[in-house]
Amino acid sequence: MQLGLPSCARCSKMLQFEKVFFPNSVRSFSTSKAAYVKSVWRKTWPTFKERLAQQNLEEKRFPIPRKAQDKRLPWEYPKQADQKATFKHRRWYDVYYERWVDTYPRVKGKYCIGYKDKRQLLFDMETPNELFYFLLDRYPRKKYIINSFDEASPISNISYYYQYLTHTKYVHGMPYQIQNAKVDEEYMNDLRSFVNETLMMKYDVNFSEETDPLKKEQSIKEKCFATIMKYLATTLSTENNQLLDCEIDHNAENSLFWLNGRGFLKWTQPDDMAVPYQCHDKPFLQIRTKEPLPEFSPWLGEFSTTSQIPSFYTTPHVFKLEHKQYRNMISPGYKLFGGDVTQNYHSAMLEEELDQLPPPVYDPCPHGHTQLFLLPKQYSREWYRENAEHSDITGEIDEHLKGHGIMSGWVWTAAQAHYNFNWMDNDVTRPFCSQTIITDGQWLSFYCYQLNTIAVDADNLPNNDRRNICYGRTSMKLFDEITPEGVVGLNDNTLQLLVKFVANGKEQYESVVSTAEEVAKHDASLLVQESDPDVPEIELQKPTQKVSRDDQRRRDEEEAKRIEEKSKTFRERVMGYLK
Amino acid sequence: MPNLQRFLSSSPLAATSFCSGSITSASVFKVQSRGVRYKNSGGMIGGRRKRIPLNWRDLNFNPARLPSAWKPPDWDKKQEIDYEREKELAKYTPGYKPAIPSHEKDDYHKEPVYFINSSLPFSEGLKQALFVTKSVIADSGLPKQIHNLAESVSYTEQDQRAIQVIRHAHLFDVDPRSLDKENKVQRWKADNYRIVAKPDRYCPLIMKELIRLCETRSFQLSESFRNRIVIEGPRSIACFRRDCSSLDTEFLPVQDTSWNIRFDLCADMQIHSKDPLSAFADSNAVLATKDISLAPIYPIMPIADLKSTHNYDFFTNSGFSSKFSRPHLHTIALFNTDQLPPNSIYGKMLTHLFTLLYSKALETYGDNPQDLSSPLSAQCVASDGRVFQFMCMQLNTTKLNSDDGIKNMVWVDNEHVKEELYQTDDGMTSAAMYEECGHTTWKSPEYYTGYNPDVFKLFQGFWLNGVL
Repeated sequence: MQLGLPSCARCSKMLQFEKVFFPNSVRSFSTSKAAYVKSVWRKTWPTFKERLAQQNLEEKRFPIPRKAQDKRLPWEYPKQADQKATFKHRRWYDVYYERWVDTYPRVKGKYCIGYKDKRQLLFDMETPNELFYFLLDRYPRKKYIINSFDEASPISNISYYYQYLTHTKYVHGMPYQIQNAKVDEEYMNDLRSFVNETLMMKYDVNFSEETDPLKKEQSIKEKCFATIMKYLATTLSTENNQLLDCEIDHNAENSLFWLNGRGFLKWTQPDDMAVPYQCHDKPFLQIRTKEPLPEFSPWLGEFSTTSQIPSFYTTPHVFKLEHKQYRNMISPGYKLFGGDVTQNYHSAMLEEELDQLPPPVYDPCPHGHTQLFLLPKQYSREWYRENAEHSDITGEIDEHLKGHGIMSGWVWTAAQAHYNFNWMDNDVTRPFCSQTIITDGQWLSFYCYQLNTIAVDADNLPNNDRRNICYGRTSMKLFDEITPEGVVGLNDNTLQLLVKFVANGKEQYESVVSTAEEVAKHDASLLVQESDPDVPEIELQKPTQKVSRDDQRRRDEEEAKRIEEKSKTFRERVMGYLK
Repeated sequence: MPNLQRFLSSSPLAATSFCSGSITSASVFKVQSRGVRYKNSGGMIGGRRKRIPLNWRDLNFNPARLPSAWKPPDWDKKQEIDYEREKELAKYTPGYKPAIPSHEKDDYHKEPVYFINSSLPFSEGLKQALFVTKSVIADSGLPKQIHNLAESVSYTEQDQRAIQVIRHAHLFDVDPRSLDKENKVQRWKADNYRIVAKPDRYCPLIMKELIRLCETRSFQLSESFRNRIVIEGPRSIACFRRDCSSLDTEFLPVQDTSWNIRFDLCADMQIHSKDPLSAFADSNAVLATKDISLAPIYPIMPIADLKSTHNYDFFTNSGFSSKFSRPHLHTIALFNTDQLPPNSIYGKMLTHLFTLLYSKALETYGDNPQDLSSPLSAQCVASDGRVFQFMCMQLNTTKLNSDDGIKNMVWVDNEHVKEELYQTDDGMTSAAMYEECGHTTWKSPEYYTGYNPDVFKLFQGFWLNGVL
């Protein structure tokens, strides 16, 4: 929209001067017979200041208000330069209290997030919002962007690398309270028939017209798993009371910004800079509750302080990870608080009702319970086999899934801890537990993540005994096949685990766990993933599935050799020995 | 102010001004447009530079947006398809799909079909939909049994939970689209401009969460929870021939009053159960509809503003196979993310209900048009996250050949429907669940105002109909 001003049709800019033609009587003729009209340049606006006030905002600097200006019709309220809101400024003059008020706390002395002694200022902060201003917004450097799931990543044994990044101890198996929980047989029968019918929707229901087969399949998976999860959340509310008041986020986005290790970042900077990481995680569905989940392993137990975490001595540029600079973000999928924006303060001040300005409201369900991930639509287990692109990397299937479980558990729980006013120097005082389920529609992986520490940066780590724990069980089949006649081979163990996950809570914990010693004993019996101390390189590690696969391969080769030997004649065998 | 704005944007004056603006910005004659980047250098030194776009996909070659006078003179000639050449090309090029004239395609019919889908609803809303589906508004307001049920089902904590859902959607939900990953705006700007929830994000969330609350309640109340299932986005098609015998064609441009009509719709969410929903009206009330005539919509034609095509398949499909374990439709939920006014959303609800019930009736009673021995009934709820619309329908007949005889029946939550529809031009009104909720609603300490407990009570009663 133009503000009713004379403007140039070619360049659409405001005209400072306009051409004024004299009436026809002044017209004269030159020798070249071309008629010209006598004219004069006149100022469009009497003063420079007035003209400036009438100008539209610059498009480059103010793209969004400019867009709004363009949409507005000329007779609607115009937004002029002198009508800009004052709350956008760094300070404003508070008429009520008659003093200047800052919109954020100011820095006194040196501040740098990379060193512990230079970020002592963070302890003076009063609210998480102020904390995030210094923790996130005052760090304008490039950061490494971690994908929780990336099947094309060049990193082999990615779960070890993510263990290093998140200071996590990976445990094969489920925690005591999940392992020993009991599921009602009648309930299982109902659930089995319900899951059967839900999965059969693929053939029984005509879903919307979608030409892309991958997209169509993905949307059907989404619909099926959403109905199954909601069914579990409603029917288990009798056993687990906190599901009555839970909140469910759809298509949320969790993100975390953290520092880990030191290394080279830039030629002009010292080569021991704290290395920043950012991860964005997109769960399809997540359940949040009013009360936190009970701990998987004792908070003060030995299990959360022992274990060797794999290490990595280079910056991640060797993996060609994305290295970008943009706004640093921390969020567990919901906003920290509602209301209390500066705009409210401004409008209350204008109406002289500052004493009635309400405090911010907080989400009643801040604790993460379970999150469900759907793998991307192009994901396929077949792709890992030997093909024109690459050799056989079927050993990486479980590695990618384990890495995904570790990273998304870390991102969600650590973001919750940050919302709880903890940061790397002010470590958590209780465990933050949450559960993760990852699925591609047929195969499910289950993870329980217990956050014991968020002090994983280079300054705090040497004095930190605590480790985060991730219990995991990968690649459990839900069914063998869905045919038009029915679902073949529905797996009971998987369904039971699904039920135990959603039913997990105070009631289940109290019914299963009696003493901490039992839990410690159970934990000690589980297999922990650790790197080989003699060969610490991450790419040379042998995770369990690779070991078992190698053993299988060796056995197969020996078998083949034996059969070959048997089929040889005596003469060939002797010639073979002589060689 | 918002109402005025909405009015302005929907007025024809505003529409024309918007169109003219878009034409000047995306013109074909001007080589450079806003969205296209061109190579800065290239071409001959000293000569005129060739301007080659970096990405050909960005160019807008669509002159359909231009007025006909602006078209190049040879445009229509160039756009004509030479079908013989296409055939020849197909002969020599493997995998080539030739363009076929529409009358040679397999699905060509001599008579056109007038169709409606989710992007092209009835322009005149409920009035037009009622006439086309041969329905009458049975009574003012919803059937009394639903209000009674809503009273008996309600419990003390329900309002608190519904409010929690509203605040979750408006105050605490993070929209991934609002996260600025390209560093486009500064933080203070981002906070001020992107903090407001968008309707296509909060409307589905509020509806899904309210439905979950009702499902939890139904699980607490009875065993019949296991007979139900909530399905997202099934597609259903209804094709029928409509003969409007009562239409007075004296002053109409067209003399023919029978048309083929096709509804092709996707409901956002719907609940199915093993047992059918009980009828809203008894057989006497059904027979009484013989005496009621369809409300005239005279200056409007029943097929006004409907698109037509000659290439179509004439069949009905309810969207569910015969094997499906929960065959009976219970309730449809529609997300009004475009924030349509109540009149047009009521029309949309009626088309959805009719499509599903009509296709179900054909499946059970056969293709012959007839008065159904046991009528089919279903319900529909629509919302834009704040304002809720409710509708019940009972399909009594599939005889759409004439305007006489038994009619289908419709109930709407508005008490003064007939007056608002046929006697005034002000548009209809519906109940809002709350007045306002957002980060800037600082006048109330809970950041929402004007909560109306009756709306969720009715919603719950509607959803739990037939559970007890």
